[in-house]
Amino acid sequence: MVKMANKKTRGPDKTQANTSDIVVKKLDDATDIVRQPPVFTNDSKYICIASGRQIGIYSVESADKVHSLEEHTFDVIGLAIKDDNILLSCDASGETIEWNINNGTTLKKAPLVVAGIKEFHSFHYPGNGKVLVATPSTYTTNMSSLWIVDSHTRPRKLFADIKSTPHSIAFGCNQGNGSLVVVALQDHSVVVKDITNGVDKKHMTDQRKFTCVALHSEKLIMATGDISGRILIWHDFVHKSRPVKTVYHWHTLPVNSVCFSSEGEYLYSGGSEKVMVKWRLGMSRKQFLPRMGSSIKYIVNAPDNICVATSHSDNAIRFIDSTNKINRAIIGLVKHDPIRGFADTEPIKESVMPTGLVFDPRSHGIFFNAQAGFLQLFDPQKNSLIFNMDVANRNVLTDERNLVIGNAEVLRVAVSPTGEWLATLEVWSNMSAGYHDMNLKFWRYDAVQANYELNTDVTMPHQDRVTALCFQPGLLGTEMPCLVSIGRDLKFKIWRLVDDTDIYRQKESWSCDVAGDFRKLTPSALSFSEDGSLMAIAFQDTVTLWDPTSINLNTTLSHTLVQEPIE
Amino acid sequence: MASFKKTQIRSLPKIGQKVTADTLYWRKLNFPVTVKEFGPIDYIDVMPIEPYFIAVSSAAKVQIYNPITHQVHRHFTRFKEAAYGASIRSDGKLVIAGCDEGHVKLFDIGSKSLLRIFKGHKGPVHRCKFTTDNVHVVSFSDDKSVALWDLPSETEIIKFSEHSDYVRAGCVSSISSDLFLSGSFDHTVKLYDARSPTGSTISVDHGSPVESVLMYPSNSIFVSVGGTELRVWDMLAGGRLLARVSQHHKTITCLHLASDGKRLVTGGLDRHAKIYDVQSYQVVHTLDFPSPVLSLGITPDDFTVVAGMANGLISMQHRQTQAEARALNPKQSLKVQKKSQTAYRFRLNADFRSVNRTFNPATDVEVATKTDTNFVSRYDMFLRKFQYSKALDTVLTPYIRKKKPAITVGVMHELIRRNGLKSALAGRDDSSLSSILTFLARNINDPSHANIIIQVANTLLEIYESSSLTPQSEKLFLQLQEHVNREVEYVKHLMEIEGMLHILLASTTTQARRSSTYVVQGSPVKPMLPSASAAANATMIFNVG
Repeated sequence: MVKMANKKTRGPDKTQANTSDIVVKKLDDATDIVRQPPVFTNDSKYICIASGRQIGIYSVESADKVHSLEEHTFDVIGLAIKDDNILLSCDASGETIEWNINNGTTLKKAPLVVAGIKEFHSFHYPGNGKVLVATPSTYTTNMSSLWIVDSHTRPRKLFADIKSTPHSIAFGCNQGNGSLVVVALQDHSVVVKDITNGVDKKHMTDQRKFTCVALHSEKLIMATGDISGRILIWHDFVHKSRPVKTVYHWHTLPVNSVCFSSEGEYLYSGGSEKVMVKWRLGMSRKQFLPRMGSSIKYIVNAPDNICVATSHSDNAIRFIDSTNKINRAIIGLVKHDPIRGFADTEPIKESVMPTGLVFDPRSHGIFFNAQAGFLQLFDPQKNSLIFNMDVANRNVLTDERNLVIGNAEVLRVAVSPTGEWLATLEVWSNMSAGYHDMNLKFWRYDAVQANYELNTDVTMPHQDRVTALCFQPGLLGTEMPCLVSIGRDLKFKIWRLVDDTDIYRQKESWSCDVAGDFRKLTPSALSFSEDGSLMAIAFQDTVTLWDPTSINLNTTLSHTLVQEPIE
Repeated sequence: MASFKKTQIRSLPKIGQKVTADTLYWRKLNFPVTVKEFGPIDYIDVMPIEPYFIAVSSAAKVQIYNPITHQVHRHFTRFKEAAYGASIRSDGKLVIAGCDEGHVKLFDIGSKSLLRIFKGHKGPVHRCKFTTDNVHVVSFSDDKSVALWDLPSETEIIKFSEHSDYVRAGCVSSISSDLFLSGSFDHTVKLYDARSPTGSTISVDHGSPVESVLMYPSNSIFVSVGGTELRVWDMLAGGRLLARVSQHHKTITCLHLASDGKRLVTGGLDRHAKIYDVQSYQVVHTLDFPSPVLSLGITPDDFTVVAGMANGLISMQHRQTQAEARALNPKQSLKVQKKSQTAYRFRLNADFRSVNRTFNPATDVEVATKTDTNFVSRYDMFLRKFQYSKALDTVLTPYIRKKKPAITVGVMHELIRRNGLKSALAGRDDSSLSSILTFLARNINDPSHANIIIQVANTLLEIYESSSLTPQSEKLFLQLQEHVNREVEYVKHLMEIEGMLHILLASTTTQARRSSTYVVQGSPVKPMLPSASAAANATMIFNVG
C-alpha cells in the first residue's frame, strides 16, 4: 500500500517530468488540478478542471465533483466551452472531444490534423468552428507555433516562436468589423493578428520579458504582465503602431496571470506575492486579497461576474465571491514547492520532499510535506487528504525582487509507534545571513478534538542540522515514550517524556535525557530493532549498537573496505 | 486566505522562583506595620470571629490589638512575672493566659476584669486553650503535666503527667471537646481523651523537642513541629507518620493554618515563614522577616498576617485592598476598570445611511457586546504593512525594551527572517541609535537571546562602520564592546570550571564504562550554550570602531 502511494504522491512532481519527452507520463489519477486554467460554463454553475488525462466538472456552489470525464489517453492541454452545454477538450496528441456538460457523456471525437504534427502545447477555441492550437516550434526549443484550424480550410500558421504557456495567447473580437483578433507573446514583444483583415502588428516595449496577456471581451483593450510586475493596458493596438499604454504597477514579482472581468470594468492580476489585485480600469483604485496561501497561477472570471476562480501552485483552486472573500476551495494533494536557498551540497530529494513519506499507524495515512511550514496527512486508501497541519505557524513570506526569502520548512517527521506522538523538525535558514533557526516540536494527538496539540517546542535541539529522528518502538503503554535524534553537531540525543506535574496543573513535557557522541564522528543514520531493545547509530563507516535504556555501547561494527558514510 | 499570524514571542521559562497563583496571592501583602514590645513575643492568637482581634502575649502582659487600626484595644497586666500563651475563646468574649507562677488566668475582654484563676500547676504554664464546648480549659505546663479545668467551678477535672520534660505545645480538637494534643520537649506528642482518664491514647515520637502542634479541622491528621522538621501524623491510623518536611534551616517555632485550611504556615528562627500546600507539603511561598519568628497569627480571611519576633517586634501585614492597589498603580487599575465596564460599540447599518428614513434604534444599530479578542499589536500592524523601521521603533520604547525584552527580540527575529533587519536599522538618528545600542548592551549576555542580539549587533556594525558617529553613539558602541569583552572573560572562567568538572566526570565514568565512549548523562538542553555565544562575540568585536 505504501509503495503504491509513493508512486501517486510522487506524481505531481514536476521536477521528475520531462516536458520534451513525447511519451506522456501515464498516471493512475494525477491530482494536479492547476496545470491548465479552469473553465467556467456559460451559466457559471459549473467549473471544468483538467487534471492529467481527466476532466472534472465541479459545482461552483458546493465545490463538489459532479462528473469525471475520462476518455483522453493523453494529458489534456486545453478546455473550452463550445455551446451552452458542450465542453470541448483537447489532449496532447491532438484528439478533441466534445462532452455534454449536464450528463457527462461524449458527443463527438475528432483528431486535429496539423501538417503531421504529433504533439500539441495548448488549445484555444475562439468560436465559429475555428480552433487555435500551439505546437512545438520547429527550430527553437521551449517555443511554440500557433496554428488556426478550421473545418473548411487548411490549417494556417499564425505565429512562430511564441511562448508556450497557456496564458501567453489571447483572442478577442474587434467590435468595429467583428473580425477575430489573436495576440501572442514572445519574450520581448507582443504579436497581434487580425485574422479577417489580415493586419499584422508587433509591439515592443523594453527589455522586460512578458509573462501573460489577456484581451478585453468587448473593447479592443489588451493587458500584459511582465517579469518586473508591471501590467500594461494597451489601447487600439491593432491599427496603431504606437498604441497608447496605461501602466499599472503594484506587483514586485512577475505577474503570473491577468484577467478582465466579464463586464470589463475590472482587471484581476496575481503572482507569487500570493495577493490577488483587483484594479478598477481607468481609475487608480485597487483592492487586494492578501495571504491567499500560495502563488497564483491562473485567474479565471465567471461569465456572470459574481465569482472569480484562482489556481494556486499548492494545487488548489479557490473561489472568490463579489465581496472579495474566499468562500470555497477545491484542494488537491498539496504540492510542496522545492526549498530554495539551500546549500548546494544537499541532495535533491532533500529539497523536494525532505520529510519523505512517514506512515501514521493511527490513521493508516502518510505524512509528508505540504506548503512551506505545513505537513499533510494523506489517506492513500481513500485517496483523500485527511488534514493539512500548520507546523511552523508563521506568516508565509514571499520573495522580494532580487532576494530569496526562505520560509520555515518541515525537514523531519517521526511518529511514535502508537501514533499518539508526532515529532516535527522545522528549519529556517538563510545562507546569506549565516543564521539559522531550528525547532523540534512534539505534538500529541487529542482524540476528542481530533487534532494534534503542541506539547513541547525545543529551540535549537542540536547546534547543527538534525539528520534523523526516530521514536523507540516496542514500548508498552506504561513506559514513557522516547525519541532519538542525531545531528551534524556530532551528537545523538535521547528525548524522553517527563512528568512535570505540580500542585497547580498536570503537565507532561519532553526533555533531553542523554546527549552523547562517539569518537567525534558524524552520525549519519539511526535505527531501532523491532522490539526497541537495541538502537543502532551509524557514525560514518561504523555502526554502533546501544542499549537505549542504559545507554551502554554494546558493539561497534565496521568493515575494513567500506569507507563511505552509511546512510 | 489565512489571517495574519502574530509574531511569535519566545520567552523561555525563567530559572529560579516560578510565579504561581500562590506567590501572587501572598505577594499582595502590604509593607508591614511594626510595633515594638519589651520582650520576645511568646504567642499570638487571633479571635476567630470578627473583628479578628489579636491577642499578643509578651513579657508580663497580654495585649489585644485591633488589626485594622493597629492600636491596643485592651491590655491585661495582672501578672507578676511573664505571661504566656494568651488564647481567645471562640465567641471572642473571654481570654485565657498562663504565667510564670503556674497559674492560668481568665479575663473578660469587655470589662477587663480577672474572672478566674486556675491554680494547681507547679511550673510555668506556657500554653492554655479553651475546648470546643467553651466551658473547659486545657493547660500545658512546665511541670510536665497537662490539665483539664472546669470553667464555672474553677476546679481541675483531670491531669495527665505522662511527659518527662516541659510541655510547651498543645492544641484542642475543633470537633470534640474531649480531645486535646500536647507536645513536649521530651520529643513526644500525645493525644488525650478526657473520657479515658488512664492515659494518652496516642503517643508519637517527633525526634526533637516539640515547639508547636496543630490538629486539622477534619480531626484525622495532626502536625507537629520541632527542630528543623515538620511531621504529619495520621490520627485514625494510630499515629502513623505521613510526611516529614524539612524546609527551615533553624528551629521551627510556630504553626498556623491559612487560606481556609488549604495552606499550612510555619515560622522559624531562620527568620522565614514558609507556606505549604496541605496536600503535597510542597512550599508554595516564603515570607521573610527581620528577626527570628516566634509566633504567627493569620486572620481567617487571610487579610492580616501577624508575626511576633524574638526582638519584641510585632509585624502586621495587610492584604492590599482594591483602593490601595489603585492608588499604588493608577495606570494598571485604570485598565482593569475599563475592562470591567461593559464595552459597547455602535455601528449604523449600511442601508440606513443611504436611504433617508426615520431612525429606528432597534434595527439600525448593531451592538457589539463582545470585546475584540483578535487584538493586533502595533508592531504586528507595521510588520503586516512591511514598515520594518516603524515596527522596530514601536518595540524600542523604554517600557517594552526594559520590561519586556522578549518582545523586542521577537520582532528582531522576525525582521531577520524577513530579511528586513538592514533596512530597519539603517538611517537612524542619534537618539534611536542609542536606544538600540543600550538595548543590545543590556541583553547581549542573555544566553536565550544571544544569537539574535549578536546578529543584530553585527548588522548594526556593518551599517554604521564607515559612517561618522556622534561622540555619544561612539561611547555606546564602546560600551557594547566592553560588555562583550566582559562576557567573553566570564565565559572563559566558566569553561575552565567546566573543564575541571569534565576531568572529574571522566575519571568516574571510565571506571564504570568502557574507555571508548564518553557520555555525559542528564545534561539538559539549552537553546544556546554560552561558549558558542562567546565565540561569536569574540569574532564580532574586531569590527568595532
